Amino acid sequence: MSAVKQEQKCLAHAIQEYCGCNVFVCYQCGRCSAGCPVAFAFDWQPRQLIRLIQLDRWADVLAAHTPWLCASCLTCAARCPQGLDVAKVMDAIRMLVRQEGCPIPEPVVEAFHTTFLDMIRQRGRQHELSLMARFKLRGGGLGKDVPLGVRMLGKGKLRLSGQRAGQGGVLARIFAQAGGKPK
Amino acid sequence: MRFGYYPGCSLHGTAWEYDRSLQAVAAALGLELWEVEDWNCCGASSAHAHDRFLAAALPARVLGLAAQQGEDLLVPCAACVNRLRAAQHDLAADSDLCRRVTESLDVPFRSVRVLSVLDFFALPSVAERLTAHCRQQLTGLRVACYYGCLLARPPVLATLDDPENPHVMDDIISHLGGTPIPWPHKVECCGGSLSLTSTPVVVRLVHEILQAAAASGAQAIVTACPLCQGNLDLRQEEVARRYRVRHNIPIYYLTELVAISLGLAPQQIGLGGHMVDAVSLLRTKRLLQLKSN
Repeated sequence: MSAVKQEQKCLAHAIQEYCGCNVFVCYQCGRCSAGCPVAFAFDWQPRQLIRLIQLDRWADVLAAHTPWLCASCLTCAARCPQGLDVAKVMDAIRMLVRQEGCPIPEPVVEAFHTTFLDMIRQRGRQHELSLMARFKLRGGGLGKDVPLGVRMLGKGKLRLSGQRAGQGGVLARIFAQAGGKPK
Repeated sequence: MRFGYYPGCSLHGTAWEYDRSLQAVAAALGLELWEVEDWNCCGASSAHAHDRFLAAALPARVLGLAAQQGEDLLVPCAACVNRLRAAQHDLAADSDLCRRVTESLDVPFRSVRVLSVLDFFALPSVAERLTAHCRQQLTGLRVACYYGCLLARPPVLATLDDPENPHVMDDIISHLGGTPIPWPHKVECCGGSLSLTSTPVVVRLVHEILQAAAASGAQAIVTACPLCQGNLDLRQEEVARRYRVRHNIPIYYLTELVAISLGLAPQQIGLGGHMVDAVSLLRTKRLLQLKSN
C-alpha cells in the first residue's frame, strides 16, 4: 500500500476519479442500508462505508468486505434521496483496492470475476461449464455445487462446448486498453 | 416485422428454455428475430466492478453490430439490458471515453433502442398480435410476477412503469387471463450475481422470495430474467435443506406462459428443462390440452 499517496490524496476524491460520485452529498439518512438485501452479511453498512470515505479512513475502507459482497442490485442507488449511486461507489472501492495493491478482502469473489473476464478475453462469450471449472480450480470450492452441476447437465443447462466471438483481435485491443486488466 | 436479437451468454446455456420459448413465441406471432452476428458477452456483473472502459467497450461492440442491422434490439436478459443501457448512457455523457472506445472497436459504435422482454410485449404492435393469436386463457393460474433488480433499476435506465411497484408484467399476465397476485417482493434482489461466490447469502434471499410468494397465495413465480429464473429454480433444493421448507414453486419465464396461451406444446418451449417441475401445475389447470399446429 502506498502510504505517501494516501497522505497526499483525499479518499473521497480518489473514489470520485473512478466513478464520478461525490460522497459528500450523503447526509447519513440510512435509506441505502435499510433497503439493502445483503446488509446482514456486511461488516460495514453502506451508510457507514460512505461515512468512512467522508472521514478519509483509507485503511478501513480498503479492508472492508462490504464492497465485495455487494450484489449490485442498485436498491441503494434507486432510493438515495441525494442521488448518490452507492453501488458505483462499491465498484470504485474494488478498483481502488486493486490499484493500491492491497490484499483482496474476499479473494473468492475476486477469483470468480477475474475468471469471468478471462473467459471473455479469450473466447468472447461466456461458457458456463468452463467458467465453473476454472473458478473452482482458482479457489471456488472444488466439491461445492457438484451435485447441482450434475443435475444441470442432465437438464441440458450446461453445454459441453462453447461458442466464440470477436476473434479478429478486437477483444485483445479492448482488454489492452482496460486499466484493470485481469491478471 | 423484424427485431435485432441479442440472446446473451445465459440463453445459450443455463437459460436455453428462455431462448427456445422466446423464439417460439416470436415465430407464432409472425415476428422475426435477427440474431446479432458475432455478438460478444456484455461483461455482466464482472466488468463494471473492474474497469470503466471495459464496462463500456464490451456492450458498445454489441450495440455497434446491432446498429449495422438497423432494428430495435430485443434483449431478454435483464443484466444485459442494464449493461447495454448503462454503456449507452456513459458513452453519451463522456466524449473522451466514447472516443477511446470507438478506437478500440472493429465496428463503429452507435446507439440503438434496447428492448427488454417486458418492453417488447408492451409494444402496441406486439400486444395486438398477442391478442389476435391467443388460443387459451391462463384461467385459474395465480402467479407472482417477479421483476428483480435490473429491470426496475436504476430508474434512469429502466423502462418500467414504477421502480418500487411495477405492474407491466402483471398486466401482460392479466391480459392472457391469468391472475397476478399482489406481493411484497416484486423488486427484491435474488442475489443472482453472488450465486457462485456467496451461496449462503443467495439461499437466504431465494428462501425469502419463495416464502413471500407462497404466503401471498401464488402457485408459481414468473420472471423475465435468466439469472432470476436460474437462481430461484436451481436453489430450491438448498433452501429445503437449510430452512427445512420445501417450497416446490415452479419458476416460469414470462415467454413460457405466453407460449402456453398461444397453444404451443411443452416440448416446443422446453418446460422439461426446469429443476422444479413446471409441467404438473399447467396440466392441473388444463392448460396443456391444446394440440400444437
